[in-house]
Amino acid sequence: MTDFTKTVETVGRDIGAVHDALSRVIVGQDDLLRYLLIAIFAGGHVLLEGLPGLGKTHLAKALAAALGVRLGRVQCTPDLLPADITGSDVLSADAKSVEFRPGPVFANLVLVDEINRATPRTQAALLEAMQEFQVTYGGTAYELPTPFWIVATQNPIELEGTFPLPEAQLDRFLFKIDIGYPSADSLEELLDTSLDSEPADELEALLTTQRVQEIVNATREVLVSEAVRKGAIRLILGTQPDSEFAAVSAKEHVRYGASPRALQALIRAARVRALFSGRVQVDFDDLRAVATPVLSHRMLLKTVSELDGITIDSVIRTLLGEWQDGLGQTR
Amino acid sequence: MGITVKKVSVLGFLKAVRRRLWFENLLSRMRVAVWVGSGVLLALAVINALLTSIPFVWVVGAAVLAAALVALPEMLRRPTLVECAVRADHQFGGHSVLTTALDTLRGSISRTRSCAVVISQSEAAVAAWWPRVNSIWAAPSPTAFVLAAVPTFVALLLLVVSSPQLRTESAAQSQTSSGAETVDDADDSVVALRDSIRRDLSVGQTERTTLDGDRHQSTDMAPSAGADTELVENPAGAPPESAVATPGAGTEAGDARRTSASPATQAAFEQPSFAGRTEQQIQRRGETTASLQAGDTDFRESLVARRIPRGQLRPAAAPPTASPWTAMTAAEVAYARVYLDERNLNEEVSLRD
Repeated sequence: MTDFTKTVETVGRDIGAVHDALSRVIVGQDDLLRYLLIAIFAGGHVLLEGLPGLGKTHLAKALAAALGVRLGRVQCTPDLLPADITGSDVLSADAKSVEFRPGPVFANLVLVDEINRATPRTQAALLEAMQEFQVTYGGTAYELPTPFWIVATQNPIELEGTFPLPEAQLDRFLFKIDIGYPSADSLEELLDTSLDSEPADELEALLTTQRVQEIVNATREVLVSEAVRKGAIRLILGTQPDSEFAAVSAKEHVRYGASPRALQALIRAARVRALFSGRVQVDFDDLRAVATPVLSHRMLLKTVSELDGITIDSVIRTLLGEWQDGLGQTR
Repeated sequence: MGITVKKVSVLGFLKAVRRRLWFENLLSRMRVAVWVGSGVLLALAVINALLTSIPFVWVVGAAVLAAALVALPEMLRRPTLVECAVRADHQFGGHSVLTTALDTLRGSISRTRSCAVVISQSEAAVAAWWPRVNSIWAAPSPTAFVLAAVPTFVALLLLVVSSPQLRTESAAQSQTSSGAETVDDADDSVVALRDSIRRDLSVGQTERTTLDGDRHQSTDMAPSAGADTELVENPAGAPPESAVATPGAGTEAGDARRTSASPATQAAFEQPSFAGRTEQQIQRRGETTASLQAGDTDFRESLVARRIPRGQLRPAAAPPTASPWTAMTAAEVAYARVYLDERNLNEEVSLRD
């Protein structure tokens, strides 16, 4: 048994432990948890979208606790300023100097609650942190801790007084995960576990920051064959209506397709999923499994299609079907 | 790290997969080719039946060519090893282990710790999959081939029904069996050819025609009124070539041989041994007689010029290969039919006289 085989086994064991712990806190959301862990270990940021009361904030807190990382929290409002997130210079206690006081963004996992309620100016303050893992204030760049993730939440209703995220910022989220309602059984279990207590507060750390970083590094050793790469490229090009490989559904409904950054996100997420499955190579199934959260916020539908009630998820489903048929022809 | 690579096992497995995949692709493409061929055949058969006459060989040849053009590229193209690896992974649930191992063996993936893992996993997978390698080939359903036979059959039926030669021959058979006139069913070209032959024969019977000028008009055996009129109005001394060369008379270059052979054929009919023989046999015998007597007849100058001088012996020519049955052309059938009509007419007249 090689060293890396052992690494793969221990990674699978650790991830399984985190998943089990989170599933006891967030009941009936297995897909959500799986996607969330994939995004976290791929080193990407996550945008959670769901109605109020579905446990988005609770989930972020539980995740930080299980991973053993430091949590920072920002509750977005229209009057939130960028300095409230990044930090600002303050007069020192002895009033002789000005020193930089880091904001809540200086944490491993930053929960940005209701991000679409912040003004575009404040939202833009997160751009540098998300992409370059640093914050520039007063001409000085401050490096963010490693690992660093942003888990943002937004409410799809009550859009009055909100500022929808610009496409540039949306593109920086690795995943956008829609949170649905739990089933009846899950609700019953929810009552048993969290009616009189807060399980997230009782959650013990299962990993450390160092161990998390080791897992993130291990995912980069997962192999991606030439055929799978080409398949990923075909999938991304299939979303672009002007591409020669555009899918029929994309030509019909999509105004703007996925960006090259989406291709990177797709491969990174597929690597993590492969590693979670105990494999050291990415398969087409991995691409298909992570395609929806990767693509759903990176594609814009035509106005006519939106008015016709076409959803981005249905378009992606059709697109994946066409992509699968295309793969079948090459097999 | 000590990566031990056994290329033979993985590549050997992939080559075994490639053979099966190639055959499967070929069969799949042949299924399309059969449909294309049958479609072309049907289209040409319809054109042949409705618009213009196309030779049977051309129709079949075009269909075969179209099918071959469809099938040939797949026949020449061998699946790549990557295609085989992807197919094997998909078939056996390998999750791209063979595809990745192949890339690793080729060096297209940079060597990391995971390369050794994927190589060893692929070898284990190949060992497990080898007994099932035959299942890689999925035999295509024969239904498509069977269904393709339907348009092919329809096309062949159309070709046979619309064939002019077949119609002429069927008309000749029905005339022979009933003894009645059946020229109404024959093609116009055959009728015209028969008329021209009739005119040629009338030259050979000039004296009798002149003496009994109203004979043809009084008989009901004439095939058509037009033909009778021409026969009666034909000048007694007109050379046969003038009638043959008439535009629209239905003769072609090369018919002169048959025309000039008619006296010999006529002579052959005079022999009593021809009683009870078929038209084809009689025709063949007549032509044979004509060729044997060619050196002694002087109706063709070229043959006279090639007469062998006395004392020079030409080596014996090999006899023609005997065959039990020789199909007659439409012209030959018409020729024989006219001649039989004429002979029956002559016998009838002589009996009446």
